[in-house]
This record gives sequence, C-alpha cells and structure tokens, in this order.
Amino acid sequence: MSVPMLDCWLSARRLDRYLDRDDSARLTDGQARRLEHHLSVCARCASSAEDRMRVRAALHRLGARHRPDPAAVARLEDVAARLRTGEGA
Amino acid sequence: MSVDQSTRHAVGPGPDPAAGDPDASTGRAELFGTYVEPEIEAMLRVAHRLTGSWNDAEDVVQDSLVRAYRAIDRFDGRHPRAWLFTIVRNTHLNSLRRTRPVPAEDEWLERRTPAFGADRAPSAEEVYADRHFDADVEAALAALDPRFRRVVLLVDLDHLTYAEAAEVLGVPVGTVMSRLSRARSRLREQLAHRRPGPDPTTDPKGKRR
Repeated sequence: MSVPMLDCWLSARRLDRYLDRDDSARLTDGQARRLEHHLSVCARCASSAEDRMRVRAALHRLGARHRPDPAAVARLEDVAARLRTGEGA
Repeated sequence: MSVDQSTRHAVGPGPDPAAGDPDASTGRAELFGTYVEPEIEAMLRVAHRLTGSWNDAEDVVQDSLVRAYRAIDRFDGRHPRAWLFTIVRNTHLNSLRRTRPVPAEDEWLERRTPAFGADRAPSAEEVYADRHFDADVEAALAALDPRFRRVVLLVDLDHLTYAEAAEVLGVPVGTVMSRLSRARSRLREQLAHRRPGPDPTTDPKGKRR
C-alpha cells in the first residue's frame, strides 16, 4: 500500500512551519497531528524531515560559533548603562 | 567604515524632552533597562547581518541605543525586539546615506575558516562528522544568493522570528517565508551528497516496514 501523494505534498509544504513553530505561521493542532501521523508512515517524508533537522542543527552550530565579540557587547552595555543613568548626556 | 575603538564618538541622548522631569526620566530608564538592554547582543547580530562588519555593526548599535533611549517613552511595549530591529535597520540605512553604499556581505562567509570551537557533541565521531558536515553547510550557505542567505542567517543562525526578520529586511512576512523556503531547499540540494544512505527499514516506495 503506497502513501497518498497528497499527504506527501502537504507534508513538504508544512514541514518547515512545523519545525519552526513560528507565531506568524504556526500549524493548527490538527495540521500538526496529521503531519506527525504522515511522518510515522512515510519514510520518504520522514527522511526529508531528518534532512531538514540536520541542516538546521548545523546552522544553529554556525550561529553559536559566530557570536559577537564579548568585548564589543560589553562596550555597548556600558553605552546603554550611561544612557540609562544620564552619565552620557 | 572601520573605526578604532578608542575614537568612537561620545554618547549622549541629545536634547531630552524629559529633562527636568525626574519621574519621566526614571520611567524612561526603567523601560530602557527592561526592553532594550537585554537585547544588545541580538541588536549587534542584526546590525552585523546588515553591515557585514562587526566594527560597523557596533557603530550602528551605539547610534541605535541612543535613538531607542530617546524614543522609548513612545514605545507601546508590544514586540520590543521588532521595534528595536526596526531602529537598527533605520540607523543602518541612515549611515549608508551618509557614507558610500557598500553592499553588505558577511565577512566570515567571505573568508570561511575551518570550524574550530564548535559546540561539544557527545562523541568524538559525532564531532568529526558534524565538523565536516558544518563545513559543507557553510560552503552551501556562502553560495546562496545574498537575498536568500540573509533570511537564513537571521532566522536560523540568529533565531529571529519571521516577523522580526521581516522588520529587519523591510519586507512582508510572506516574503521572508518564501525566501526562507527557497533558501533551505537550495541548501538541501547542495548538501544532497551528504545525505545518509537508504534506510533498510523501508521498502522502495518509501513505506515504513
């Protein structure tokens, strides 16, 4: 028994939104449940989800490695503190 | 616009409408401490995405802090990060008008270096595999069209929401989503050679056994 192509198409369209959980485009509970069920029975879409998660994890690691220089953050925090206390005026 | 740290301009909020009103000044200071100061690192990251340079980003954030301080009593308290990122974007645009229009690129992507100092993974094998995969991801990211790359940088590396990225880029949320989708799709295409082999627990039609 093959997996319905319509579910694969919907899965591909919704996977990023499902993984991002962004308030601007959050899936409904029903959509999320349908997607989760589809991923449990369709190896191709499950593999696609794993690919996406793997790339996302790598991008998150890149973001963590390329953080701003703590000294620059400290200088800006000092600027902010002086503004807040009126010393910079 | 590289600036020596010792020559950064003096900081001051300029003429203050709340001057002489201690209650207004105190309220403004509290709002500034609540909404702005916790987001300094995020502002610096966003400014870096816009300017392509950490030095320029620091200048932009310094100016943005002054603007935010002056405007905070008019801020309605909703979506503080989006409000701040809009200030960062406008400050960046103003600085471009004062100087030459330099296309923003990411320094670290232009001179990609080996990925040292990566997050610790549980095993040496995973660290090894992640480093090789990460290098390929970085190369694929560098090969993206800048319009698409910037959305990935803001959302996936800097963890902005779609709406915040839309504010930074000055485009609708739908545009952020479509660019993000295309960018991620291209990244996956570029990384297809790194995909693990077929899963032996599935049949040829993709149905799980």
